[in-house]
Amino acid sequence: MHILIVEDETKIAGFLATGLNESGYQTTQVGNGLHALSVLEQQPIDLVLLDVMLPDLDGWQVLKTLRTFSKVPVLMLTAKDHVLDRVKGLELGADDYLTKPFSYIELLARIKSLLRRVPKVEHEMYQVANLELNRLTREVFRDQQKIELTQKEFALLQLLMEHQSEVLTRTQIASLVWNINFNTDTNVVDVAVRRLRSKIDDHFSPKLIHTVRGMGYKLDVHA
Amino acid sequence: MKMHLGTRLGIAFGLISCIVFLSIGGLSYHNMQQMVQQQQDEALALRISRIEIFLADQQSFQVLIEHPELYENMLGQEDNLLILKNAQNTLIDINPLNITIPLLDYHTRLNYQNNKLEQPTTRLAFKQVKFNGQSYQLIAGKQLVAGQQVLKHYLIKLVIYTLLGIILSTLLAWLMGHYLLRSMRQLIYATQQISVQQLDQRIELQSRTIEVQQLTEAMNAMLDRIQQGYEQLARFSEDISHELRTPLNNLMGQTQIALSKSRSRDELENLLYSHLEEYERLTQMIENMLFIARVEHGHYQIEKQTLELSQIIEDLLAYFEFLAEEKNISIYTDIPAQLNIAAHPEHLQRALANLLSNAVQYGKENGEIRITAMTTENSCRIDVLTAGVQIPEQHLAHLFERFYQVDSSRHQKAQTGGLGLAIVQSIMQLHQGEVQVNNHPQGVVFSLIFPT
Repeated sequence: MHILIVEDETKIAGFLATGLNESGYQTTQVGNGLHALSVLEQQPIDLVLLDVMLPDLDGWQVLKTLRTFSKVPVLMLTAKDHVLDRVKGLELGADDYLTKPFSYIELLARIKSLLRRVPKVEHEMYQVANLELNRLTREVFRDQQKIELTQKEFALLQLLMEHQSEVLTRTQIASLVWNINFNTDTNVVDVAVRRLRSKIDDHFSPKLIHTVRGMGYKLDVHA
Repeated sequence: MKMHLGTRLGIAFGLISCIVFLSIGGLSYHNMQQMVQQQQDEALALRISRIEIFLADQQSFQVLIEHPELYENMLGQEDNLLILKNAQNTLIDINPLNITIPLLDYHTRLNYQNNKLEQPTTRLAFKQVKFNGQSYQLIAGKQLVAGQQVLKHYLIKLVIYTLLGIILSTLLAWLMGHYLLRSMRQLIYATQQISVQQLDQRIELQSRTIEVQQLTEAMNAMLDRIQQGYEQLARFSEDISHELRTPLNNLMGQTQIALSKSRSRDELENLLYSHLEEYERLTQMIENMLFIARVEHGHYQIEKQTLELSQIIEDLLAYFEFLAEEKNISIYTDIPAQLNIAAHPEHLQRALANLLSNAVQYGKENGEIRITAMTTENSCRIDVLTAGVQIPEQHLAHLFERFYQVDSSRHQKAQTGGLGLAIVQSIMQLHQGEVQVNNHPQGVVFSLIFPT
């Protein structure tokens, strides 16, 4: 997968390239809009990370021109968090939108979902090691023992299992499990994960839910 | 064009007095003219009637015809004129100035006519009279010069007095304006003395002019608001520098110490993790502050939707249930079914979440939280009660200020850095509603009041 990073701040472009390379993506960096368009015309690009504030040709104009010849997914990055900007971006054909400063984990998650061209298939059953979750009967088994979970605990576990091996940030979890899309003064996610652990992890091995310090949580066989 | 109010008043009064004086002058001149004319005509009529009586006597008639100079002497002044004629000849012709007499109609009633043939205007009175079966025409006349002279004098005086009147009233109005506006000038001076450094100063001015008094009060009220806003802003900048400086200081110090000698991989990793948490806090704080600042500057416009309150609260309770269970806090709700509220869904959720988060955080273990809602005539009110908790009265007024901490010694700051309630207030401001806090016997109550 080839990602084009259009960003005039070399520090940001640099860490994005490093991170994405380490996550297994091929990257190309360009610092201005015209250059970006010429790369897009000549090379097969799978996804564009497009900064709005660019010298000469700004991100909006690049997007507008790009949409005349390509449907490549575009994720806009901007320092200005105005609702109007967001609307404008989506109207011009951006596929997603992130405000700086953004969490790299969040960016990675959005890139993954944009590149997942085929909609994710919802499985009936999820299994990681000796943990099983049945989405239809809403039953959870660990080591063949049935485990009773509340509705939200079940939703949280399902989310973690759907994204096995992926780090999920607290923000993502709050949004996907409780539909809470803003920061609150509380550590609800931590409490919820702690409770889930006490039910499915504490008395079993291997431990499956791992805290990724400073980022979030992931469910995996290995830490 | 810019000019003083006093000057403007002067000019206005000048114009008004111009109109008034000129109309009065014009009218009185017109009257005077008519009066002079009437007097003259009466004099001529009198003369005609005297001659008529005179001529009625046969003897004196003969004498007069034979010696017209007698009457000429009787008339005295040169501009007097008397003519008696019949169809054939002129019997008496006293006309010292040789005024050309036009052909006059025969009338039995007294008639007047102005004669103006290249000579000074002469007023003629004429009448047809009959003696001894003979018809005569009697003409008396007098030049208008004398009367016009009187009128001319009158006019000159009138113009002079009018001009004087206009000048005087303009001047008086100007002086009066300046005198009456002196409190205004004082107000201007007092206002000029107020600087940003002395926002606590107030204008102390006693004026008997209601408008000036009102303006003074309005100015002082405005100063109150400016002072309040300014102080809040100053405190905000101070707070923000402090709030940003502390974590930045930590980050910098920790990094410098870490780099001062070689560290193990674990130590460095730990440092980075700790930094990451700090960055996340900073990011959230900046986002929250931007939100508040934008609301205050009116950058946000929200689209209200009709929301079912019980549903919103149910969703939120699902979010807070784990936290409440940790402290064994029971949350009770009493929301009328079908209670709809016009609000922005995410903002309403956020305001309620911040209140609930505080309630859970500061609520007593094994305690309870009660959420109630009711509608009144023009508002919808949501109350969040944290049982058994009271906030000292002196803090109540400041609770919604940014970064305000009831317990200033509390080290562990909330994730929003003391902005939670300020955000609630901003959200209510966006909805043209308000947030209140009150101590009740059962506990502290935060109320969100939405207009309906």
